[in-house]
Formats: sequence, structure tokens, C-alpha cells
Amino acid sequence: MGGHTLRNFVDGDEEEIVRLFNEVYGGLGGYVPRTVEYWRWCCLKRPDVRDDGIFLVFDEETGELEGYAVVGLSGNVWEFCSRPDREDVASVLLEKIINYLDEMGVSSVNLNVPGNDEVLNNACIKMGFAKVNVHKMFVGVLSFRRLISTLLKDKAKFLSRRFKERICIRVEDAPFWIEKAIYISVNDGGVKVLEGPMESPTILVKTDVKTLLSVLIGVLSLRRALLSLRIRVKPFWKILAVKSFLSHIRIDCSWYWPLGDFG
Amino acid sequence: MDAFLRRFREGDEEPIENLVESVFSNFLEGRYWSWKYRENPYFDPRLVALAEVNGEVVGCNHWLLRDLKISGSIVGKTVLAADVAVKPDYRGKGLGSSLLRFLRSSEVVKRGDAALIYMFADPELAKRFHSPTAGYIPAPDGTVQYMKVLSWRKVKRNVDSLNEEIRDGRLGRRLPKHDLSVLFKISAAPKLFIRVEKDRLVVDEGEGLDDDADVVVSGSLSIFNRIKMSKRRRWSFLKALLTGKLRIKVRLNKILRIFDALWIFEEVFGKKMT
Repeated sequence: MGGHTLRNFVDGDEEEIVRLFNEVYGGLGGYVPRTVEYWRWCCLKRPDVRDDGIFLVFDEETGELEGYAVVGLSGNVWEFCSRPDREDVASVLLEKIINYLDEMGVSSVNLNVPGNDEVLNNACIKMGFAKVNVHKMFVGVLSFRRLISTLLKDKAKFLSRRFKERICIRVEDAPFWIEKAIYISVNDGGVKVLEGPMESPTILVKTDVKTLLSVLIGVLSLRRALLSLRIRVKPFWKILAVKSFLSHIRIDCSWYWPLGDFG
Repeated sequence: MDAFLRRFREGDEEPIENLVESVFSNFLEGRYWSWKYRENPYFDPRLVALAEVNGEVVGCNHWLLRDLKISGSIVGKTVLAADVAVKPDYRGKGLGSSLLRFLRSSEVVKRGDAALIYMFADPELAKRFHSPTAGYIPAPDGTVQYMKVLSWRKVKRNVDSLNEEIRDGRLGRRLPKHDLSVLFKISAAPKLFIRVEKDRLVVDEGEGLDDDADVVVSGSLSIFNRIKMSKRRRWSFLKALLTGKLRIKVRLNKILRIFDALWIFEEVFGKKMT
């Protein structure tokens, strides 16, 4: 680990910034994947961000980008990114942010960081930040059929080898914009989420909107949903098959949203 | 009241911008709407709904169709439910819900690829309003929010304007007869000292302040924020005291003076604080 240099943003840095962001946060969900176009809008054109409020840290030896921060005069750090385990880089950026905002006469700094990055969280605490709970992200569903199709994308092959079922999921309290029933056919030919009803499903699952969404996005354990009868399976001996199927498609990573995605 | 709901069309920019900026007056000095929506690569005019009464735009709702990383390997189309703004005179009449239903039944949503809708909100508000009315649930939580107060200059400004009101006799209330000094020791913030005198308030900040005050209030910035954002501040304040999340050290002979001065601190911290 060598030394580092810190400088302001210059035109042409965008691609390296976007690459670093997508690389560092690649294992997480919850954010808008960065493209140069989106980043330019989200950070560069943001009304409270000036060119001298974007800081980049490079490794002195390799010349590679190790971290960056986009700081607004509202006190919000719209984007913060540093390579994992580089507490030195995180600390340099945090110190720069504090000094910059203090010089600009800003009263406070707000920053979001991923909870699983222990090094970065430690750096924040060492720099005198306190955890707050101002806003949270909330999710609703527009279409279970589309959600399940999306979640099945990279698992279809695996599931079709493991299951041979025709599953009907009935959503008992579905409002007008959500399907009342979702039909999934799993067989050797693949996994299909069907548009319309299917003939004689082999499994009938009854649940409600909140439970199904909570299970699919990974905030409610399947075991709990089944034991509390918030998910009911007919015939009951297929319960393990349903548990296994849903546990393969549900989201299993935590979500991180940089302040820039907030608004 | 009969409101006419429709989609955004060219020429709506000005009334909608005025409405949003009047409702969210603290945002970005007038450059907010056109940057956030018109210049946004995800802007779709079909996902902006307007409510009109007698040709006047009195409400609007904005959705943005975005890519969202759903898991480590999946990117899906989602909708960000952004600003809903309704003119104060038209609130409480179901206009917000109508605008929500209008966008939910739009063809873009029905026929598009979006599976999820998401939004950001104060957790308390979401529990009371968004979850029961629109079925939102908390997202998988992997975000830690941090804050650091660099200076109490806005609190000082609030104290200055209160002092002006006192001087000009515009306050309408009298300051307590007896002096009271209070020191706030809030995590991630400089110490803040406020002394209530007979005819003015004195404020100071900095790490060098000693603890020699009649009252010392200490606690975390998070609790302080929660009390400030609460609708029933006095109740939240009391709850924080009873649960030990906020601690107060007070000289016995000054204990009653706190109650006399409570409204002053509500005035000072009720306005913009950081």
C-alpha cells in the first residue's frame, strides 16, 4: 500500500469514477448502476455541486483511482466511494470533505455508507461522525409476475433441473394494479412465469402482498412466513419444495443507497 | 372540489416548478425541478401527473423509471416515487391518493418492465402514512447514515433573530425572570452554550467551553434529531429522558426554571438547526 495523491475532478475522470463505483459496490443492491450519463447528471450537473467539490484520491505508485467523493454545498456527500480496506483513503477523503464544507460555511455533513464496509464505518466514527436515522428506503410492488421473472433471470437453468412443478401463487389482498395470481411453470424446458392461468397446478400457494414482497426481497425469513401461516401451501407436503424454490429466487444481499440516488 | 387529473405536457414546466418549489421551499434555490426532472436521463413525461382545479395546477406527482441493482447480479427496471406536492388549501381531500392511483394505472406502468416501486421517507412518516396507504415495506437495510455538525451557526442565527424580536417587542412572550444557562453536549457536534438572561439570549459554541452551566444536556445526535423531527417534541423529549437516551444534569435550585425556559429552546431548535 503506497502513498496517495488527492486532486479535484477534471473533465475525462468520469469513466474511471463510474468504473470504480460499479466495482466497489458490485456485490450490493439498492442503487442505480452508474453510467457516465447518469453520473454526469447525478453529480456533475447537480445544482449544489461545484467542480471544486469533487475529490479524487489516486495511488501514488500505480496511478489508479482509489476513492472519490462528491460533496454538495447543502452538506450532503452525494457520492462516496473508496476501495475496501483502504482506511487511509477513506480518512483522507473524509478530512477533505470536512475542511471543504467548513471553509464554505456549511453547518453539517451528511454521508451514507454501506453497512458491510467495516473499515469505512470505523473511519467515519474516528472522524467524529455519528449514526443517524433520518431517511429509509421503502419498497412496494407493481407486478409480482415481473418481479419473479426478474429474479429468475440467472437461476432458471438451475431451477429447471431441480423442480418439476406448476405453481400457482394466489395473492389474497392484491390491489387493482397487482396480479391476483401468479403462475409459474418449472420443468426441463426451463422456468416460465405465465401471463394467464394454468391448468391444474401441482402446488397452490396462498399469501398476501406484504408477505410475498417481504420474502422475495429478503426482509422476512421463509421459515417465519411458513410457520406463522402467512404463506400456506396446498398440498402441505409440498411445503419443502416451496421453501426451497422461494429461497433460491429471493434477494439475498443488503441494499446500499448513496445520497445521490435519494434525490 | 372537482380536480381534473392529467399527464404532463409541454408548457407545464412553469406551474409545476412553482408548485414544487413552494411546497419544498428549502431546496436548492429554484434550480431544483428542471435539474431533477427535465435534465434527468430517466425523465419520462408520461410519469408526471398533474391535478388541476379551474385550470390551476394544484397538485403533482412525479415518478422516474430507473434501473436499480436488485441483487449482486440482477439489474431490474423500477420506479422511484419522487415528489408529490399538493397546494396547502387542497390537502386532506384525497388528491395525493388520486395522483398516486392515476400513475399506478398508467399504461407505462401496466405495460412496462417495472416490477418494483421505491421511495425514501422518514421512517415514522412511512409507518403512519406510506405503508398503510400504498403498501410500502422497508427495503433490505444495508445503508448507514452518518452526520457531523461542523458548527451551530444556524442555531446562532436563530438566537439572533429571537433577540431581535425581543428588542423590537415582537415576541409576544416574556423571557423568564431568572437567568438560566444550558450546555448541550451532543455527539458529533461542537459544544453549544445558551444562556437565557432577563432581556436577551447569549449563545456560544466550541470545544473549549467548560461544563459550568446550570443545566447540562448530553446525548446522541440521532436522538436530538429525532426529537426535533417529532410532531410531539415535548413528549419525545420526555421519552428520551425516561429511557436514558438523553441525559440531563441540573442544579437542584434551577430545576423549575427549565420548564419556564422550555419554549425558548423549542423556538431556537424548531427552525433550521444545521
